[in-house]
Amino acid sequence: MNHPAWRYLVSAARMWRHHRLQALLSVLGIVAGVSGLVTVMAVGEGAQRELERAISLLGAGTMVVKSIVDDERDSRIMMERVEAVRRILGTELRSLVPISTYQRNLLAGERYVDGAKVIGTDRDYENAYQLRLHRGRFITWFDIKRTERVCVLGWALARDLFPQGQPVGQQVRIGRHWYTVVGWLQPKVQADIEISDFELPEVDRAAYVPITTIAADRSQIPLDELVLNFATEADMIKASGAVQRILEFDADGAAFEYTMPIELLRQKLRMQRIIQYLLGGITVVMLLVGGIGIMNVMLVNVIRRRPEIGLRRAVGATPRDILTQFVIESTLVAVAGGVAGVLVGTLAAFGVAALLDWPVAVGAGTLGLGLAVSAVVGICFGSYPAMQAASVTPIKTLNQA
Amino acid sequence: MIVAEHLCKSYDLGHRRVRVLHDLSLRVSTGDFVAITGRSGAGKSTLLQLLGCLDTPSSGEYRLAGSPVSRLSESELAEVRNKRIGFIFQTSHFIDYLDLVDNVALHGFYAGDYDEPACRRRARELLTDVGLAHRLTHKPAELSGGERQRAAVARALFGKPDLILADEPTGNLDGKNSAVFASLMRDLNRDGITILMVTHDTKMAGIAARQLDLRDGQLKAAA
Repeated sequence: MNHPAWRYLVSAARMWRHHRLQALLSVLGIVAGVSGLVTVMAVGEGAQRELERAISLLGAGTMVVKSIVDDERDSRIMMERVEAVRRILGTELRSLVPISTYQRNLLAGERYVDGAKVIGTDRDYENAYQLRLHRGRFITWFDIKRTERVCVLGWALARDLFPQGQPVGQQVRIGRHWYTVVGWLQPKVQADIEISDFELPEVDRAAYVPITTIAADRSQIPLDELVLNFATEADMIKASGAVQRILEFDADGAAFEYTMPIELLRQKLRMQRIIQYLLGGITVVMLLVGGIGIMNVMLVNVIRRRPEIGLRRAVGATPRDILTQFVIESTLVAVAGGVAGVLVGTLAAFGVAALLDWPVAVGAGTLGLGLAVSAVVGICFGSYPAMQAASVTPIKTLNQA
Repeated sequence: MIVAEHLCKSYDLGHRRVRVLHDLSLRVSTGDFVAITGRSGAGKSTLLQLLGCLDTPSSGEYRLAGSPVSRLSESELAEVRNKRIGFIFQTSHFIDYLDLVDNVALHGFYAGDYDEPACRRRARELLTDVGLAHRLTHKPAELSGGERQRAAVARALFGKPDLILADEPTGNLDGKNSAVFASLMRDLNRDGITILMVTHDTKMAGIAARQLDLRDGQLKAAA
């Protein structure tokens, strides 16, 4: 390689190798600054990816309404009102999933599962929670209509009840009645998403039955939960008032809990973002301190290396050559600090993920930005010392002892 | 080789203007060996700086090998220093993080057509010529004073200069090393290189064909 930039780079590398301690001292600030930057960016990117993942999992326009049953109140969403919501909102709604959850003992042959979660629902549940079938089918419109005694089992629950064989076609006793297993779900990797008090159902350990079959009184089916899915988040927000009015109208003061998971997640991410901005501010200060560290070492270098500068001028270097040399030296050491900072920052990001349980993601863009920032700091803070070096008068320095 | 006419150089020191060289004229022919003596502060280093194209005069005309040096740009001056002039200083400065070969080959770094292997080869040859073949890969700090000054000669010769400018070259050497250095200078002059040397050392000045004294900003024939 004979390019001038390469020659200067090799020369700078030799200089820093000879003065290792100086190099180390000058980059500490940059290492701290860049590692902070990488950590902050990783937290930000992790939050963004979590939001995207949650949207793809739930849909951006998903709203959950829950019945409130405690010592003071007994507000239950009634199935007939759900039908009213469906009729009034019509095509604005993509799906409407009634959910009624029970604890039941399950029996299949010799196998017995105590207090399993049995979810009474309808056919839309499959799409709303993006379930995948391993064998068989999900609950159909006919099952609902004809109150068929059929069920679909989660992967792990089916394994518990039928450790050897294939569950589809077999009989399972749920509570006091026998049901035919018509579907077996694929194992679902539980999304590691925490959204305030909103929980994703434990798909693998549940049994699904037609809501009309499991309810004791078919004319008055009380629901635990109602999941409404709109095409967009804006549609959902627009319709939320109407949903509330329809569900609560003339219902003896009943009040339900309305949750918009994506909104909750956004709130949580907004909090994270504030912390991120604070950390970002500290990072900028650290980078400035790092830059000043480099400038300091380079200024000392200019004084110490005045004879070298004079010598280089005497053998044919122009002030511009000297300027280039010193800027490349400061940039090289800053980028080396940047590389170290990127490594430390990546480790720190995973440390944050482990300690605070925040989602983090270190993307190529983050790493590239870390290196670019360190190079910019090297160039900016190395320029003033380099200009000082370029203005050194040669002969006087050469006659110094 | 050197034609300097009515050279003046003065510096601004705050409110005061200090005149260092005043109406100085000098002619040095190719192959000459000139020694310039003078008291401390007489302006010897300033003169060497002007003649070495490291600075330009406040007024007057300086031509080096026919080129009007006083009117050249910064980069043209750098090229003249690189191609035509070799410097030897009192304190033989070297770059501490480079080995001796790279130090001597430093001229090549700033030459337009840099060829690293060729430069290193030439540096090794020159160091061998001055008796430092056993020190090629050593760092400058590992050399004795005499060895450093011989290495400085090798470095000055790297660019195949027409002119060598030496500033108190034996100032830090003992008698024996001064004698070795003097004989090196004589050999170079015999090979046709023009030498202009500033020195306090009368013995060293004695080896030059012509001796001049710098007094009151002007050059006069030494007594």
